[in-house]
Amino acid sequence: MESEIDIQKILDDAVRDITKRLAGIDLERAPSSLLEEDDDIASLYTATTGSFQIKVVCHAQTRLLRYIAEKMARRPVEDSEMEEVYVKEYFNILCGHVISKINRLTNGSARIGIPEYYRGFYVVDDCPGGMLEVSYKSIAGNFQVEGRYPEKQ
Amino acid sequence: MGKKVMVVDDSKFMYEEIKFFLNKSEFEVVGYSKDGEGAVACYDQCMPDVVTMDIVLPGIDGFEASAEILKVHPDAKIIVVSSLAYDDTMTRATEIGAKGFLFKPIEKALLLEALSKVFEEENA
Repeated sequence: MESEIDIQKILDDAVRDITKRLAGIDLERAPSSLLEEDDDIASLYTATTGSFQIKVVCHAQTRLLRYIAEKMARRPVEDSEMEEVYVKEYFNILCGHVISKINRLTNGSARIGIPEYYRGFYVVDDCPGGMLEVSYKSIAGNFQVEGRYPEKQ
Repeated sequence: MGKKVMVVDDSKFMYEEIKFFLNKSEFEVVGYSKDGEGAVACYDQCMPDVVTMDIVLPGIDGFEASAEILKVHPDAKIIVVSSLAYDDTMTRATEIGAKGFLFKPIEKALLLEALSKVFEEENA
């Protein structure tokens, strides 16, 4: 299993790069989660199959996800179903980049699953092993990404 | 009508994005399928000049869908589009007969270049 620092950097690089490219947002690292209990939050989740097993979940304020969706759509997005389409693709691209880099590091061939969207704070099943968490803030809202993986891979 | 493009991607965002990028170009999006099984039927219906094919799809994946299309239409021109940017994917794409590969998020210039290249190679 590659060092936590490598995986965390891969996650951080991909989150910032893809968020900037798709939505023009500069995410700033926050020392810990800025998501409050009463925030209006949604979660995006996927898990990989194959040579490297990791579960990735992102929790974000819905106003940030709405902003990302509208930037991707290049127009206001009133329909929550369409908003979900855009943010799932955003997450799909982000995770694709993460897994691609992990595959290069590990010489593996892991694949990501189709992303799932949940209203509220989605809690990933406990998986004995490592956990990474990276938190961000931006003018459009706050965001947190977690990666959970078995130790030995 | 310009050269006809069919988009296969489970996300409608990619269909809209490609349509947006190809607006006022020599290419026109004439068909869309959100899954691999539908792609084969859609191809038969719209007979595109080129297909952009996502890899991660519900049901059969983009590689299988491409192979199915090429079985019936061996001259089909398929460009694989994916966020999975690693050697294995590109190798597989070449093996199944794809004519090009684009990484998500796609950029307009690279999309147009990949589409043009497919027809340049045909005319060479």
